[in-house]
Amino acid sequence: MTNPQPETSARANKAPEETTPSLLKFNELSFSYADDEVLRQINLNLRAGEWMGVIGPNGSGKSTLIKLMGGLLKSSDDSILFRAKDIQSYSRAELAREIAWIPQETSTPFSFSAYEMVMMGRHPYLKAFRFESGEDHAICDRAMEITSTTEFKTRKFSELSGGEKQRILIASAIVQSPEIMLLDEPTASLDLKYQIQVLDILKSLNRERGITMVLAMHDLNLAAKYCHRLVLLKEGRIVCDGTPADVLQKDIIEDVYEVKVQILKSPMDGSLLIFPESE
Amino acid sequence: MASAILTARRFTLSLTGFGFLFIATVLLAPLIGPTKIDLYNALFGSSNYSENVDANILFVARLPRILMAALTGAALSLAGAVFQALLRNDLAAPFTLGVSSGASLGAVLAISLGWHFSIFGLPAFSIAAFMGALGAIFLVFNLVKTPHGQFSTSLLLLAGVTANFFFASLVMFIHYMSDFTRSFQIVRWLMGSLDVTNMENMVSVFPLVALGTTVLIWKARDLNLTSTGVESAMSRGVDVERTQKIGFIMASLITGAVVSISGPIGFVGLIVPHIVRLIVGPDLRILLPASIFFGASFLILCDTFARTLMAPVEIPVGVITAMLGGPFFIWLLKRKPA
Repeated sequence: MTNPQPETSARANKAPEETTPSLLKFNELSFSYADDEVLRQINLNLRAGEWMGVIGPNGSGKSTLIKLMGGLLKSSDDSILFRAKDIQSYSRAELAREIAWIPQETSTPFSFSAYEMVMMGRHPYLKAFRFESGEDHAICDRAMEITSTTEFKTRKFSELSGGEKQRILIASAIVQSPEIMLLDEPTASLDLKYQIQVLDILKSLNRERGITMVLAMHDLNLAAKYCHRLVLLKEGRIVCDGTPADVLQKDIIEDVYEVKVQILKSPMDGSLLIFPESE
Repeated sequence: MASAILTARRFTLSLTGFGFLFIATVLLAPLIGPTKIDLYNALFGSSNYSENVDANILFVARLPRILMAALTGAALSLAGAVFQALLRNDLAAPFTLGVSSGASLGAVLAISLGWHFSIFGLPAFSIAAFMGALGAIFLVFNLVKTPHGQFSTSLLLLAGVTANFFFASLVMFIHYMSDFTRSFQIVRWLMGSLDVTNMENMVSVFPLVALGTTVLIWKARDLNLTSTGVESAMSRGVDVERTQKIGFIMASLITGAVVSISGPIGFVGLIVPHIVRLIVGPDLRILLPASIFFGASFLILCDTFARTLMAPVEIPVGVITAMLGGPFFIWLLKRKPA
């Protein structure tokens, strides 16, 4: 079922900037929920260390694409390769040690503490009937420092604010020590301060630990500011895939979002700013 | 204390506490009853039970019943905690989900058909009860499940109530169609009491309960993660589908096993995990074993009330648990946000 040889040679033929190892590769992937085709003929190559933003209107398939990258939905044989092997051929625990997925929101009816929620990220490393080791505790403490969540370690997860929960979930993803972090609209329900705080944490994880980031995002300005690469989806197809400057062009955005926009350059860092016009 | 992470030390401490409570209840409950017994004579008197009334009451009348209550209480509480985690809802329990009544239907069917055979030492009505319990949870789970693993509380409760009504009507139908002797057996069984039990049946279902318990405790951490969401659990390395299958089958197995010998005793599986969760927190690695001890003690206490409250009349223990459980359930329901 898996055959890494042709894959390696195919990669060798590509342009020199694409020689960084391919982590995830989509080959003509299509995906449907029941009869509803959500993604069509997706071709995508995610390389180690990248920061990819997935943008597009509501219902364009962003969340589905992110879940497929984490192996959370059933994909057809060899349509998604992780490290040149069909993603479906990995066990859940194997994938969890490589890929972390953070949903828009997590809820539990039970009163798990913030720390217990973080520790759940260690699951793929633990054996049944065992308690967490001192090392596991040290890893969790460190992740809580990085995400500045140590102060509410013992509070109930269900009673935290949106921004606090999001940071706990990021800490829980960090302790999985993944190669890739997938985040489904991590800033959607946060106010400005927490949006920047969360994205800055991710930025430092990307830079300092080399964790590959894939974020589904709604806010085009934040996407332009933080992402190195944008993938624009419309009705389940990739319309455009490239640098923010390639993708965030007036005619492309106006066509996909069906709204008139002005695109400017930020006077601060030169990132693009998108202003929608009212009709 | 409930918010701290589970360590080997905290696990041992909590479990020792609940273990002591259990041992104390098992030792003290047989001494309580409408007839006063002379403990010294019961233990050290004549070993001929027809002469030694004290020993007869202690070892023949009371102790088996107390062990029966312990097994039933422990199993229903464990099953309740597991159903709550799998369905991500603290109102789920063998009784509210219709699993107990599914088990009843199985057992009643076996009684009315006069099945007396046994497979591997398991009486037919226990097997039938397990099949009924499994059928009920299969029905309810498929009614409420969604692709993303979110279960609405109202849908869950409605599905449970519907399953309860449906199985109860079938039980009534079978009861109505049965002849006088069978009908009497069915009524006695449906009372949800511990007095008609005999040691033989209890011994025969004990391995089932032990098997289910071991498997569920082994899967405790997978169940923890599943209770935070299906996809979250998957992304952290849990094979959720397998966990759900194992969890539902094992919880139904132990529910069916004890319902078949003690009748449908309601609300134990709802109340006990709640109280224990308040003390040890929601981590199933400690919640499950602690619920076993506390559930056993809880039903022994309820049964002691049932035996003594209106002595010499014995109230079915199901009446006591329902009188406690009804208001408790309403209190939980009121506390829920939406």
